[in-house]
Amino acid sequence: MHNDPAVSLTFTVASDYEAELVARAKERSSKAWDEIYARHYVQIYRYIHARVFDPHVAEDLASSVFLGAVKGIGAYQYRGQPLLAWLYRIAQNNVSSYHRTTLRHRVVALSTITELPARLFGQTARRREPEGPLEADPGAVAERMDLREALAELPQAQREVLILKFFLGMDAKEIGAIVRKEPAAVYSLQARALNSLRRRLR
Amino acid sequence: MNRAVSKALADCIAEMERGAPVEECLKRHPSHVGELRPRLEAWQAMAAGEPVQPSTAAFERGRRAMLNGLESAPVRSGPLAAARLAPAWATVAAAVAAFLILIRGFGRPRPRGRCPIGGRRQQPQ
Repeated sequence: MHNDPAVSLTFTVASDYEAELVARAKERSSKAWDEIYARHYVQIYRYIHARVFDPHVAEDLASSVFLGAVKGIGAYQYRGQPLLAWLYRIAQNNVSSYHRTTLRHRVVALSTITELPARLFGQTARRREPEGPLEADPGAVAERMDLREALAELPQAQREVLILKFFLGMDAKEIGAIVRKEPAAVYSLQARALNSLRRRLR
Repeated sequence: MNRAVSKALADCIAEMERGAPVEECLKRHPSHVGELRPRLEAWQAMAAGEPVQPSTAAFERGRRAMLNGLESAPVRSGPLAAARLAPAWATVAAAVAAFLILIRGFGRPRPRGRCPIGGRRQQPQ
């Protein structure tokens, strides 16, 4: 996967460092956990936000990911995959569980919709203050809800590669390490996702 | 979207990730410009968005919750945990001892007249 010797070396060093960090985390070092948290909290938060579109829920769920990691570190074995991949899987499970329990009936209060990326397809994003009144323009709200629905209805693999790209800012190599695919397969999935998204929003 | 367009779109996404502009990608795929252009422009628009930022308060709250969880999480105990904590030489010595006991146990002559399985007495010949 990494043919460039410099890239391989970078990955090896990063991998060694993470292995050591995981070993310290297993020994319950609060410094190690602090570091893991500081390195990955924002990415985990962004991923969850992209799945639930509610900053408060995203905060709670992101916090629960790290609590889950503290509880599960004993069973975790570091095998060279990025630690973020493990945290990301915990986040996936927590979001799925959240959706099962609260969004099963698709009751989505408009007040919970904050910042769907309406910038999609050339539209300018309109921000609403988190504590402010409901979106004044019903058309904009409907548009955002359409996008939210469209993202939610994408097949899981397609949705994940879009979220990791646009909400976490990862390139194909980084995404591949998380979802265990080659970069070429990631590009292909992204192309299919983009196409599905356009079709759904048409 | 046919396979050729799908392939061209994936190639363009890869090129754009390396910094190529939309127009350059379109030049490489002149027969699919009509289908590729709106998709690539959409891709570019998505990439231009600002990422969401968690609040500092939420970051701190989550951190405190994690550290509290670290203090209150039960410490793993039991034979498996003991094996994990034991030094490597102790684990190897225990394995060798278990192996020797096993070998010697099987090598010992069995009492006469006993069936090796179930311990039933054999009928005299």
